[in-house]
Amino acid sequence: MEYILKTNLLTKQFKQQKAVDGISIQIERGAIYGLIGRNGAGKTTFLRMISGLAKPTSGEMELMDMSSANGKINTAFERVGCLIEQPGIYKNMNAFENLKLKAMCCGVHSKDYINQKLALVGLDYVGKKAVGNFSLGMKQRLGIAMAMVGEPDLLVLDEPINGLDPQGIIEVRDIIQKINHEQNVTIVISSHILEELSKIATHYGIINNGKLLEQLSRSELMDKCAERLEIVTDTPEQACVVLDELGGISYKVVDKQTIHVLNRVEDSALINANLSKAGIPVQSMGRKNESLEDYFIELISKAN
Amino acid sequence: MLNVIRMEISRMFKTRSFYITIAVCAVLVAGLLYILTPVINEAFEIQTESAMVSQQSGDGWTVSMRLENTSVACPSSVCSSFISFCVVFVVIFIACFVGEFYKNGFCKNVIGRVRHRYYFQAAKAACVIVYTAILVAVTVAVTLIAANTWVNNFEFVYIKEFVLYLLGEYCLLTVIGLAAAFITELSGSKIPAIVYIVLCSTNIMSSLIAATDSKLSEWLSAEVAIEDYIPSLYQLNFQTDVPGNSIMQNEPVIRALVISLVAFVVYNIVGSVVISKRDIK
Repeated sequence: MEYILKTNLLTKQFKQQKAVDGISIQIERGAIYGLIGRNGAGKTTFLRMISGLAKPTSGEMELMDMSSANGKINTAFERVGCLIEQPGIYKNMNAFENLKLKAMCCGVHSKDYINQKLALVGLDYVGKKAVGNFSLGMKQRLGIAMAMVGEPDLLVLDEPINGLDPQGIIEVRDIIQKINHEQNVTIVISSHILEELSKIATHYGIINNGKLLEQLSRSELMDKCAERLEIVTDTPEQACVVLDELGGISYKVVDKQTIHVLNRVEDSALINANLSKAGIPVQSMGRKNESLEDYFIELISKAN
Repeated sequence: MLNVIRMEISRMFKTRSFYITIAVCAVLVAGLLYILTPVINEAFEIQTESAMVSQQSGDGWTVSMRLENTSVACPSSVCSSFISFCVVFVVIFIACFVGEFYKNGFCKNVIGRVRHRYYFQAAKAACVIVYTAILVAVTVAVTLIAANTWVNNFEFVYIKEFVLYLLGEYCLLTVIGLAAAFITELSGSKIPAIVYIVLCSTNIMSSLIAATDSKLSEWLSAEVAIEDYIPSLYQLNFQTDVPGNSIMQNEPVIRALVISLVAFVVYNIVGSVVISKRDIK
């Protein structure tokens, strides 16, 4: 498993407050990593640090095998493209001119290259229209094109779909997937719109109050959120014996009173009957499934 | 570093305020020269009359040659009155130009993409040098053309001295522009730099510094003249004089060059440190 980014206890402190508090994260090469958290959780600050825009107060970062410990990480930041909060564009210039400036900085002088980037984000039709007259969706797409100039290996997107209409969200989502699939660019994306994130992210990191609460892959999340039968009883160990005797049931003991049955959810009546026959008191039994949103809210509530 | 410099120079030439400030400065100078032409002509006539009085008193001077030379208006005598306008436009443009880089957020796209952030300080310095050169060149050209057209007895003489004077003024203007860039970068706003140069132009800053000099001299029991070492307040005074006497002393120009060089190095070093250390928002 190859990691493009690894952080170890990365911290950013502003006076008395820790905006990012000891985050240790691992992002696989080629992944779309969704960073989830409430407003003020520390997502943007973390993304700034991994983009080279802010210096950590403490902790280490290893980006594309270059470590901050030996001071070589500045070389790695050259391979990172970012769109942090608002797109950074000169409103009096047109899209081509804005991209041309970034291309100059990266040592690229080809007009065709810039036109390719405009085509990538679907802005090849805009001509000489000043960017100040663009819609929000167009500006966001231009911001993504700007981040892609220089062919980065890692693309950092901070809430790129905020404020967009449904059509705009679909367009940005398609662009992100295209960049990831066709160019094998690793993408770190933060968003509040969890439903959208769940459609594209392959991995998730959940941040709250500057701390990383959990990291999990999509398959792990699906397992956790999949429909299951929740049995609440005072004697779970005896209930497990009954479930074993039934055969073919996979289950997990979550805590001292709760068992999750992961398959054969439709056989709840049979399971209930067998538990009752064995004299095991069941406080409650019911089907549960969770969306990413529910899972996130539950996790944050527990953390708080 | 060259890529970054190229990027910023290219942006400068695409900025509307680049052309507007130069055009306004040129029009202002030409307009003022036109309005002041009668005053300038009268000043040179008075010099001529003074020389003629000397002739009549029979002091043994070769008067004819003296008369000829005291009636000449030369590039330096005309330019020295107007080149100081450039300082306001240099500060306004540079403050706006540097401010835009951060205000629009474009810095987020590029600052992480270079190995060393001081490249941007070098790019700013390059922009200041180029802009000031173009502004001074345009201002001087307009002044000389206007003077040649409207001022009586205008001649292109004392060129070597004029070039030396211009070099001194250009260097001072460049470091003032660099100071404006530094103040804008440090404060995050273009207002402090513009306020500073307005205070300098209206002599308020000069009065404050003079009062400080006076107090310091009193406390230290020694003569203190900080004003002479601040580029925005140090003034090169160019006066033509009779031939045979010194026209433009080398010493003020050399001093201006030294002050400019020291200020240039200091601003670039401090500016590089500031940009390297700060977080980009």
